[in-house]
Amino acid sequence: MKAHIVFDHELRGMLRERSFVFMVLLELLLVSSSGLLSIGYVIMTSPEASSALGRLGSLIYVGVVSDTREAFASAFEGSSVHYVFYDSMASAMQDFRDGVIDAVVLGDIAGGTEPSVLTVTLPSNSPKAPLTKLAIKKVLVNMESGLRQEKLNLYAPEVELASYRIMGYRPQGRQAEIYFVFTLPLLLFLPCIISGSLIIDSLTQDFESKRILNLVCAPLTSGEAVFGKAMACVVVSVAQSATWLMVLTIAFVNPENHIPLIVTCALYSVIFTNIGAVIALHVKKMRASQVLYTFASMSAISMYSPFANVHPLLLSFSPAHILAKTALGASYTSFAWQYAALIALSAATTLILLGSSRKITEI
Amino acid sequence: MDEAVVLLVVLTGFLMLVTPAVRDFSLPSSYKLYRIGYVEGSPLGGLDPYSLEMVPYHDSIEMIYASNVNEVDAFVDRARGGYVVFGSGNRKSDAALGNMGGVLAAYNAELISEAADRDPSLSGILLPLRLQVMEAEIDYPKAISASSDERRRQLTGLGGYVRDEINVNDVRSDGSVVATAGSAGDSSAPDAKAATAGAGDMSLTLPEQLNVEFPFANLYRNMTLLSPLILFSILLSLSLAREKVDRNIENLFAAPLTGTQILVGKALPYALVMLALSLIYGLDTSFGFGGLEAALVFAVISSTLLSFSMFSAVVARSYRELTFIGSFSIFTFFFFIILPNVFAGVSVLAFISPLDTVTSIGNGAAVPAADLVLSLLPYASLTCFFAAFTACTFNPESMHASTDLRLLARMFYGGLSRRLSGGAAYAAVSVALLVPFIFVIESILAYLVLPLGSIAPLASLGLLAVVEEAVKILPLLYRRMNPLLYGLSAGAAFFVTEKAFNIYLIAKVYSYLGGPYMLFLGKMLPTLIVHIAATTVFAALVYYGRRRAWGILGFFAAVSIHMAYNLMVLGGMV
Repeated sequence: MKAHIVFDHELRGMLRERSFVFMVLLELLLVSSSGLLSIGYVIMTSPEASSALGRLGSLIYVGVVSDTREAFASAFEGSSVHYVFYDSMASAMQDFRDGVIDAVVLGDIAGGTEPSVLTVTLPSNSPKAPLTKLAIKKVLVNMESGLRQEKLNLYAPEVELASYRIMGYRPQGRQAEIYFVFTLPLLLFLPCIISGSLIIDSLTQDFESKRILNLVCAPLTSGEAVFGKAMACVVVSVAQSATWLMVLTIAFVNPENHIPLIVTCALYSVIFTNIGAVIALHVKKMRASQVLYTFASMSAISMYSPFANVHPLLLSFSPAHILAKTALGASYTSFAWQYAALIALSAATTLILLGSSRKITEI
Repeated sequence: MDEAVVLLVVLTGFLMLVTPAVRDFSLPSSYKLYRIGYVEGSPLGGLDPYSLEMVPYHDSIEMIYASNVNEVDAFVDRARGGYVVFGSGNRKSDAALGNMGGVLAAYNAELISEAADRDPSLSGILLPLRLQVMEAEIDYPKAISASSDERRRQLTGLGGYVRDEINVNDVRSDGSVVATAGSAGDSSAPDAKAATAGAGDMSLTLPEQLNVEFPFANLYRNMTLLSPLILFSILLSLSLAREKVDRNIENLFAAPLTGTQILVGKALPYALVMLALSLIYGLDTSFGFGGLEAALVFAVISSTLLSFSMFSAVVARSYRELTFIGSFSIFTFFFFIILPNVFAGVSVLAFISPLDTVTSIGNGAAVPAADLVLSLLPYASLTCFFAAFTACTFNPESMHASTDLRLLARMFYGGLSRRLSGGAAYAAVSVALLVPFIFVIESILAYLVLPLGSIAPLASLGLLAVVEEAVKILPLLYRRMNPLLYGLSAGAAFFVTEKAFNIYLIAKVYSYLGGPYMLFLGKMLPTLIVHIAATTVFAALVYYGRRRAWGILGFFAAVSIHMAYNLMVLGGMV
């Protein structure tokens, strides 16, 4: 097996190029942006948990027009929402239209057995509207819960509800979540996808510049030549994934299951490299191969997006799901089916690649 | 029209096909992320929340043991007729508790609704709040103006109460509004609706059912619009790189065409398509003058993309390098240009992205021409740098051989030196062309202010001192010049362009974030002097020093002067 000669040559070539620098810069950019993403994520999902909101001056302001101010005051007190009482709807609406307040809540809290009807006015043309609605929803849900308990005690003490308490919850815990649901899966998976792009570049450039003739004339089988090139791309990809895992462990969060994570990344790299190589061997032109490969990479990336929710099978096989959950400490045996499928796919694509390797001589 | 374009069209169709209206916007990476224990037989076993995996146990003791050995991240037990959720105190457990809180709230709401359906007489007790949700247009330009922000701050200062100065409307006890005559009672849509709506015919909803729309709609839209522009710029760079790899470029250079003519000829079809797309996007955002402004934003971004694709084709020595430069630029674009758009209307950070202008126009805001020009200035300057670099280095030598960056830099500054014979003009233009990169770094550092907290200003000022001094001296390495003349021209050009690029962000972002950015604004003259002095010292040591060590010493001297000044400003000594 002389594939290691091609492997060494390919690896040295990659390290000599500026590709490696760009690869590292790219991922550095991703890591550095995670801080911002983390804040954005917490703002969007749990506004009450964000300590950054105050610094940014981006709180939600709600105007309240009501005669029962105490009820609203106690409901808004525990939230990050600023509330302002107005004497009349007109002045509240004036401030609302001017964008001084983000919403207006109008109405009184009735004490009897009848429900209280509140009118909530929200902006129709502000990108802030979903965030405002989310913040108001949380306040009103809490307010409703308190009111319900009061009314039950007064008018229907015999009715029991499934009340619940969350013990020792610290909202800041959710800030680390973004690293597990976004940064880590993407950082580990991105090099795997890029490995397919690397092998396409390497093979098609050799085809288009006719340098492939040197390989064809060398005392190597076509399988050895292609395998050597592919292995170099896989090794570079796995090395990157391992580096990022280390960076995340030291500087940001503490992912678990390092070895299973690296093995999973290696399997993905093998699959993508093989797919890329097979495309390049058949198409031979760089531009067409890359566009074609984009289908494979975009399909894989779509498994990172909500698109995967269309079927439970897609969800359980989503690389994002596997990597995130493994990093959070899930036993790798819980992904036995997924690993089996990945191993089978790696073997199958390797066989297809070796079968297609004779295409290297068809110039 | 080649096979790649055909494939691109097919790819677009494929994307449209696989991007149906996905209703659940949860990310697959959060699917069954945390394990929650419960005792068998509990109704909670029937729950199947997206982010949680419910794990049954025979009894509480077994469940508590499982929690102790981290088999589950949290567990739910019954106590005094209710549920109590316990975590294990670590960060993962806290996140699981946060998710479980949301699940239990939704579950409880469902139980209550069922109970209310079974006994309608309890409806007002079990579901004590009903909402009538209305939407009304706001004056978006006013909403994002500084005056509204000031008024907001005043409101919070009033301790949650506003005395009504207008008092033209009255609130009825049933919650409806009666409009009376008066200057401020200009019958807005919601006022009128509320006034006419009786409690009986209102469409009511429960707080739990308040539907929150996809919060990243602007980001998603702008990302979708930018994708084809990015793809077209990639196609141009691939086309140029292919000419380079298969040596077709030699035929073009042999033809009676200048390098600029070849580049323009290659780029023109892509530029025209991107321009047409920019116009369509702009008019889709708003039909009118605002639409043209939005189109200008897309057109300037397109020109940056297009010039970058030509630059990357010249710089890349292989397809592989091109792929990485392309990927890097796409990610930079995503994080720098698209991502801050997520804060549109929420935080001043949104202004970092030029796409915020598009969002503002889409929401009916009239963006002043000065704002538009100033926000796009750095991107237009980036285009100038990439175009100038490509024009100076696109020649048979760079396209035939695998040229390294040092040789390309020599070609670039050599080209600039030939075109700008005056030393002062050369120093000023070549430094000014690099300033957009400082702007990009400064803006990215503005992101980092958030997670780094109090260390951020010092760290960012230190890093900027190093980068700025390197940028100011680079052109001198390629043309021997009087150090004083160079220091004056390069230092002044740097100061002026950097301030011009930052005016927009200073006004819109930094003035709100506070910190060191604003400290330097009141120190214009000292800052200019420090820029000139640091560059002159560096230039003198490079000019008179015979060894590389003098250059290194000069660099340290310049960075030290710069950093010392920064620290003095931070410490209030200047």
